Order: sequence, then structure tokens, then C-alpha cells
Amino acid sequence: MLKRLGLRSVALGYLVVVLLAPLAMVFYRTFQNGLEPVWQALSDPNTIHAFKITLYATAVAVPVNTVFGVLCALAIVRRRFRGKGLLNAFIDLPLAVSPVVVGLSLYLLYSPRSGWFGTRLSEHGIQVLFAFPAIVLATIFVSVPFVAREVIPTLRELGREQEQAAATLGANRWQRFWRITLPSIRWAVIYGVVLTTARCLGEYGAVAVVSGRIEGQTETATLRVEDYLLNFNDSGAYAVSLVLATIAVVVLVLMTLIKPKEESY
Amino acid sequence: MSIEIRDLTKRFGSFTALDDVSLEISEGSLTALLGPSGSGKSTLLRIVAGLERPDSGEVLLSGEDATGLAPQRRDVGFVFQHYAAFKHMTVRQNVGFALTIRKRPKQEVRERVDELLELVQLQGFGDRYPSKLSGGQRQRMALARALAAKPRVLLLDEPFGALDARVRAELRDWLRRLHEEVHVTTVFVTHDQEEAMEVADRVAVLDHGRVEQVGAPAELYDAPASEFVLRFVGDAVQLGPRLVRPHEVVLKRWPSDGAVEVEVERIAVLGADARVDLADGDGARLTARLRRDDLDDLDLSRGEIVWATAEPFRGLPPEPSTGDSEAGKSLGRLGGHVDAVDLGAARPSTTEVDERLDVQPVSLEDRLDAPVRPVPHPAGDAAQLSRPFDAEAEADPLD
Repeated sequence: MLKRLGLRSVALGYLVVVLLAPLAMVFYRTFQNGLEPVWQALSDPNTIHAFKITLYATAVAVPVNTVFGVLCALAIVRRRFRGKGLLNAFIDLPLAVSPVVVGLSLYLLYSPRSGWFGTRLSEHGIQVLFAFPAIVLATIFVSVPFVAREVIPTLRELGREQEQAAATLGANRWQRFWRITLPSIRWAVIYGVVLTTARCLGEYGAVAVVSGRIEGQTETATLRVEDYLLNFNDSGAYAVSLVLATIAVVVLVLMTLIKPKEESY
Repeated sequence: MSIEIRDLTKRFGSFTALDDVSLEISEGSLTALLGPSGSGKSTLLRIVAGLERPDSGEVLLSGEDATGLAPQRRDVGFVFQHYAAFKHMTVRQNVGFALTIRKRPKQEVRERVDELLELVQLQGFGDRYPSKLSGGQRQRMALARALAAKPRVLLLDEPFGALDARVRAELRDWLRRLHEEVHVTTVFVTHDQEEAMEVADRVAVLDHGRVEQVGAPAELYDAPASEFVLRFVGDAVQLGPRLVRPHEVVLKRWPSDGAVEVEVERIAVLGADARVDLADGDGARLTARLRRDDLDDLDLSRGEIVWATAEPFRGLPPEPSTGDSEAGKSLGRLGGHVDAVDLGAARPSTTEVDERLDVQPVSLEDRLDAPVRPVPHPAGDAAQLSRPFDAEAEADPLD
């Protein structure tokens, strides 16, 4: 009993010190000087634009990575092919490599003057670096692993029998995927989507390198926080941070609220 | 639909699951594929269903080549050992799946599902999820699901393997009756020879990816084509150079041509039958299964030397005789008491009682008296601790 209590308090204590305290601090500091500076910071057109850029990038990256993640998981669990181990390892690459390095590598690829892709694209008048496409690319890159990582174990556990049963009952490949596989892995997919979304919203390092940080144009919400901090507008920085943190927390709480009820079958 | 399997070979890496297997299954039959694990029986079934592709050979369904046909086009129902229930669907949705994906009108689906739920006795469970059903119920749901689209073949892969003994017996009967009602060509895989013999019309015995024998259950038992079949279907004992069934062993008190000299190690009375454990001169053990009458006539006891031969079992009744058989019956009733003891806790004492009853040279009068005589009953009353010792004291001198 004592042992269990001890373990619990260590776990909780750790979370409080590492996670909750800093978040609470942001919350406290945001409203330290009342609502006025918060409102001012959030209603600033450049802040709104920064949020829009973040949301747009997320809106592109999440569906792309969801489809890719499910496909990758299916390939890794269900198929045998050469280089499967490599694919499996590559999926984790964005977790292992620092986002700044990711940003730098994108910079090198898409630089209009010397990048492999960048020179050719700029010949056709397409600007990637320091524009929205670079932000999207960086966001996609850093949020690749989450859906696949959630889906792979669920798919392994699911096995093939239900799909085989569906096949003998007359379901073709497409029907098997939509009626059996996808419903069976849906919670893993949803959880993967939540994590991907959170990661996209919070992306900073890679985007910082490739976006150019042009206020009102290529500035994302996280860059906006830094911008406010550098300009000694602490309340503004806290306010934007709080919004980002709130979105993440709300999504996670919603997840935990819906999930157990649905899984009762 | 008839099934014809021609020269099927299937390897998994270096393991040969099926080695040039040919088999014909006639329309409307109920066939068991019987074999130990790794014999290839499940692989064969899965190839028939299209869930596995053979390396070579052909599968013909109703005379048409179906070897390369996708499972969804074969018109088969398949039941998995672990049910393969669609966990995210209710029982109704599970059962109706085959019809729903065929885009049948809702009314038709509803009626057919009702019909099937009644057939498998799951009325009232339609709105539950499979996780809320017992194993037996899940398997019945899986059967209903497999039957929904009226398949021409029903394939069952160890369908009762994951269920407990009572439910298994129930479902066996049920499958048998279902087959009589629906008459769909049915093939099921099992490693349980009793299950195969009990349920199927025809049994194909597989070992190491080869078909050892195909035949009616009685054929396999009475005329096994190989040593493997003899050993696998029913019990077998080595008697000298021959492999025979325990009930074919005949014990005699005098030597005869080809008889093996054996020592009686233990006698166990099992209701109408008795099992006699024997050891030959080299210490090799074998078991004889005798009818109680024969055992009583032999009047065996532990440590005695007898001669064992084997005669094909014909199920003939023992020769009618006069007083002796009366005595046998009486002793049989006495033996009944002993048998009851055998089920009790005092196992060691039982042998002693056996010994005493069998060895003691009992006169005919004694035998006739036996049932009415108060039997010194070793474990008859557990509270009376002195009794077993009494019995022992009585038995001891005879050693």
C-alpha cells in the first residue's frame, strides 16, 4: 500500500513539477495585468494572421500525415518487402532529429540559389522558402511519426482474422478496409491525429528556420510568442502561449472523455 | 458443392505444410480433416477457402477450377477457431454482414438475420456486442454469420477448440443436427479424434502434410491403413511384433502360439470394462481392455504371469454358461462397490481390495454370497480409520 502510494506520488509529483507548474505559471502570468493587454495582444491583426498560418499549416499536415501514417502502418504490419525495417526506422526520424536540423535541411534543399529543388522551382517562379509552402513542409516533416506509431501496435493486435472472415463473407478489399480495418483501428487513428495536431500547432524549430518570420506574412503562432517576448510584450507572449496550450489541453480532455464510453463494447 | 483437391503442395519457408495432397469431398457430406498440429489440416482448409495460396496443385469447386479465385468469390462460409467476431458490430450486424455488403434490401436482411438467430438460438442477443457473449454464443454467432449468404460450402477451422468440454459437446451435437437440416457440404478441422469420429460421415487423416487415410469413422478404426492412423485414431498397444487395439488383447492363463508372456501390474475396473496394465519380459508396458465378465472369469491378480494374444474384436457376447456366469455377475456387483471406492480418495487401498477379492481362492458359494456378505470396505467410511488396516491385514497373508 505504502509502496503504491509512493509510486503514485512520485509519478504525480514529476508531472506537477515538469508539466503542470509551468503551464499554471503561464496561466497566472497571462492574467497578471488584467484582461486588457491579453485582449490587445490577441486581437492584433498580426497575431490573428499568425494563428491562421498555424491553423492552415496544421490543416494540410494532419490529413496528409494521417493518410500516410495509416498506409505506412498497413505496409509495415501486413506486407513483407525489402527495406521494411528501414521504413520502420525512418518513420521515427523526425522524433530523433532536432527540428532545427530539419529546418536547415529544408533550407538547403529549397534555397532558390543553391538548393537542389529550390533552384529549379524558382526558375518556374515558385517560391518555397520563406513562404507558406516551406512552413507546411516543415510542419509535415516533424509530425510524420504519430499516426503510424499509434496505429502499428493496434493493427498488430487486431490480426488478420476479422478481415479474412469478411473476405469469406464476400467483402472485397475496399469493403474490408472501410468496414472492418478502419473501424477497428479508429481510436488509434484518432489518437494519432490528436498528437499530430498538437505537434503541428506547437512546431517551432524547423518553422523558425524556413519561414523567414515575416510579421503578418510567414509568422506562425509559436513564432509570434517569441516575437512578443523579444519586444518585451510579456503579456502578449503569455496570451498567445495560453491559447496554444488551451487548444492542446481541450483536445486531449475531449479525447479521454469520449474514448472509454465508446470502447465499452 | 463438391470439393476436389488435386496435388496440393504448400510450403512456409522450409516447412512443408502440404505435400502433394489430393482429396475429394462429395456434395452434402460432413467431412473431418483430422491430424495432429502441424499436419497441414488447417492449411488445407484455408486453401479451400482461398485464404492461402498453394504453391502448386488445384482446388476445384463444383468441378470448376477455383485455385486462383479470391475468397470473396468462392461462396464459402468459414468459421474460425477464435470466432473472428467483428468486435465493433452488434450480433445482428455481424450475422447480416454478408447480406449488407451485397446491398440486399433492409427488410430482407432483417428477416434473414432473425431466421438465423433463431437457428443458432441467439434470439434476444441481436443488439449485444460480441464481447458480451460467451465463447459458445460467439461461435454460434460466427456460424450464423457464415451461413447468412447461403454458402455452398461450410468450412470450420477447429471450431470448438477454444471452448470448454461441456459447450464443445453441445456444439458438436448441434453441428451434426444443423448439417442434417441445412445439408450444406461441410468440412471441419480437428485434432480431436473423438470429435471427428462423433460428428463426421467421413474422416481424412493427415500427418506431415500428407493424407494418410480417408474413410468412414468405423473404417479408420477397424482397418487403419497405416501405423499412424492406428495410433492416432483410438488407442494402440504394442503386443510382440504387432500393434493392436487394447480391446483386441486376449489374456489366457496358458501359453499358446504367438502369445506373449506378460506380468499383471495393475487391474483397474472401469464400469463395464476393465483395464489391465501388463509388462512383458523386457519390461515394456501394454494395456489390455477386457470386458468385466472376461476379467472375472480369468480371476487375475497382480504379479501373476499370463499370456497375451490379439484377436480382432468382433463385439461378440461372451459364451453363455451356467452357474459360473451367475457368479461372475455377483462378483461384478461386488466389483461395483470397489469401483465406487476407486473414485474415492483411498486409491492405494483399492488395489489391495482388488487383490484380495481376485486372489483369494473363493468358492462358488462364497461368490454367490458375496453381495449379501458385509464387505470389509476399506474406504467405505472415511471416519473409521481402522477399516483400511483391517482390509490390509486380510490381504497381506496372500502376498
